[in-house]
Amino acid sequence: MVQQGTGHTLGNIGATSFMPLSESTKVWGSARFTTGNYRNIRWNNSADYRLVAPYVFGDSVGGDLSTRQYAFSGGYAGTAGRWSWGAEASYRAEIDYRNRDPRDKIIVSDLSVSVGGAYTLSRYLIGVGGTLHVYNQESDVDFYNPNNDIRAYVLTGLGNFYQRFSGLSSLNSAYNGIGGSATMQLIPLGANGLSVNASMGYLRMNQLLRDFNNLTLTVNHSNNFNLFASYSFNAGNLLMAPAVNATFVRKLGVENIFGSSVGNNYEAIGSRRNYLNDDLTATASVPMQLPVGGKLRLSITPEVGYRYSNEDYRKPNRTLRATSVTPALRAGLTIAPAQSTRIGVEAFGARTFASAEKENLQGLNLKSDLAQTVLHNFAMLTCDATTFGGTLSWTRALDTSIALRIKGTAASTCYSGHGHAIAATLSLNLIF
Amino acid sequence: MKYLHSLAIRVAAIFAIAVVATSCVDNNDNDASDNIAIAFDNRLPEGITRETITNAIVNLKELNTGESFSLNPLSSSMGSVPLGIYDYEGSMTAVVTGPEGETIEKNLRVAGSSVTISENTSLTLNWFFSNPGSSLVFAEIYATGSPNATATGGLRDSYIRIYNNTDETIYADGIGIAESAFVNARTNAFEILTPANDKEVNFTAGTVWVIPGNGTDHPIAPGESIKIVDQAIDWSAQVTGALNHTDADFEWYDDNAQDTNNPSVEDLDKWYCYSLSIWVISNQCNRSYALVKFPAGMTAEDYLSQYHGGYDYIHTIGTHMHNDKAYLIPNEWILDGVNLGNAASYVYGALGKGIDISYASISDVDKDPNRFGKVFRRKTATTEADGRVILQDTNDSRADFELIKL
Repeated sequence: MVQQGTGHTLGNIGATSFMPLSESTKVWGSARFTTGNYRNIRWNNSADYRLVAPYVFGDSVGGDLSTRQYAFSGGYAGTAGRWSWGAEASYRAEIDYRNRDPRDKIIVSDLSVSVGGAYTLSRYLIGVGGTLHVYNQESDVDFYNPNNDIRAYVLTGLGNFYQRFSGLSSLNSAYNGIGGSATMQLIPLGANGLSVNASMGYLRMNQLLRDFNNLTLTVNHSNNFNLFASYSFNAGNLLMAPAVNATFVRKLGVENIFGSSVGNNYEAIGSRRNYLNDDLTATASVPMQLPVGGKLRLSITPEVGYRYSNEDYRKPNRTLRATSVTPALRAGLTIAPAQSTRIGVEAFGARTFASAEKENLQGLNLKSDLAQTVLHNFAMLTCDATTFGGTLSWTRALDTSIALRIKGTAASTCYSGHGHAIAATLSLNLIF
Repeated sequence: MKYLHSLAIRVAAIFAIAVVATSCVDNNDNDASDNIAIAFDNRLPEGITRETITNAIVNLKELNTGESFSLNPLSSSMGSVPLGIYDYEGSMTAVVTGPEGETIEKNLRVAGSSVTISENTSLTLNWFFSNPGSSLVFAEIYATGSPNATATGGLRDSYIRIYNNTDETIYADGIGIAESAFVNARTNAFEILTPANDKEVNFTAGTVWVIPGNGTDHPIAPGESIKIVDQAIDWSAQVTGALNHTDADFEWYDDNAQDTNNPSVEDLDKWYCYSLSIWVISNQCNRSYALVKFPAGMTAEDYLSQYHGGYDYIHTIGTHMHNDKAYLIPNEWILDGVNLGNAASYVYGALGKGIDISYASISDVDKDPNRFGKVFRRKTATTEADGRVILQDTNDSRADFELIKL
């Protein structure tokens, strides 16, 4: 997406620890620092675009965005008889900035607190959990050039924008979000059996305009549902675990309508639910694992994915609807040439067959830069793509209590008629 | 089994709460997606009846979204628009019979700003006669001035260009340039109590400058213009990008130590100014300007003795107040007028609606620091076969002017 830039280079350093306090209680924690930059972000002056979209300030100039992210999490769990319970909290702070016009300064504060409990019944663990999500973002845009003529728009989706609050200045906004989710799990105690995870969540995200007396301009209601089910069993030496995973996310966007202002107070005279975005992703896979001799283990996962995306705007009536089917194959080999060394090799390939089901952009000036952005995003969503990639990992125990792991992943995706993307990740882990 | 039953009930309860929280979000809002009916209360000038009217239309623009709608205000069926806050303007033609029995077409217009349209709104339309067409017009108003060296303010290289929009030579001698005493901003939206200061009758001026001459000293040929500046010096020698006004036709010079006079450029006659020191054209661009043709033979002394326009008013804070620093200009003397303002604070202009139905906006925000260096320039309507440009003058500054960065 144009709003997420043309690429990024990120580096991070982190630590994770896990410690049993007693036979029945455990604690864990992690900390991570990430830094780097996102390249050529346009039509978006906010962080976490997927979360706050489509309600962002955007301009046609944009540029690279530097980021610093700090993430912490910690948890505590215990068991008592047939009962297990746990709690975890995670916090992320992020600062994004750009040192030339338009100068973004974005501060994110993202807190999640989860609690859960499980009961052992026969060969299964039945668990329920809940998560509270509190999200805040300050998104300020400044122009140091006194003769600035970069116009920023309060975007509302599919090329629409609030004309009243768009302009050359007064571009400071904020997001306040609160939500929660509930999860139910069924987990087999052994290696084989049925696993089920069902969850549903809701997040309400308010967009506030700081320069207009903190008026609440838009409200984004995001509902999500997820179902994962798999059944693992042995067929001779072959371990199989057919699985289905489906996620549905529905965003409903509400725009507030304001009457005349008195001083800097804007009275909301009504609202309209104008924006809708449905996104369904579903995959069916059959992971299989086969030992080949004493030191080799082969894994193969055929998979087929389906995606349905429908973005709709009521007035003016605009719709972009797309579907895609993605068959994929993943094959991996784990080799243990020595007792202290393990090498993993994995290759994967996928082909996406996408189609545009509906394209209605009523009243949109297709020559405008904003319209071109909408069209570009839709073209990427509806073009066929081929992905190839691989992972290579090497793990060696340096001592009885310390191990080193080096892992590299690379993937290349070729979009029919729309260029290609390359992603590479290199990680170095010290495990002790 | 008892445990399992209890557990199942608890899980179901958690999911039920989540479902309620999820499903109610789409129904809690006062959804304004559907159009609402709007009725028009047409108030027509005396002598005009509904039966004489053709081509009636009202254009409404919702200010939050920028959506535009066109409705027939005389239609028997009600129109409908989304809930919102609207600016509107409209026009119609009335066919009436003249004193000789001849058929005369009269143009009527209507306009309004920031009107909230919600359920059961009846929009009152006060129609008035509009007679576009002028001789001399404002072609350019450069009120902000160029950015100063530190780009923190404007220079006084401001100017006004007056254009002969006819096919005949017009003499500028005795033409007045007046700035309103009223400020076109929400904080100055006073209730004027003195009837003489009704803008539909008289323009209330705070500053009146007049082009000198004996009647034929300063001809303006068809399609030509004159430039009137604050200080006729070469500002570009001081700040790169500023204007060179040494070629100006006139300058408005205040006999004050704060002003600079170029003796080679003729000065305007200062008939009146509210300022006791110097006059600086409103660089916030929130006043109105009028080109005035005074009655033949009128002198400054005559004018000042007969047209004093001090007025009483109710301030926005509710206090009864009086301003004595104003003079009246009857609307029929005005050749052209322009309301200036900014979208954030404009409520109404100081000119009568028959002179300017709207306003030219310098910015979407009040006191925009980026306004400097921008000139209001009248659009070209047509170009004649001989190359003479006819500027657009529909008495609708929002449509007639464009904002150009110099």
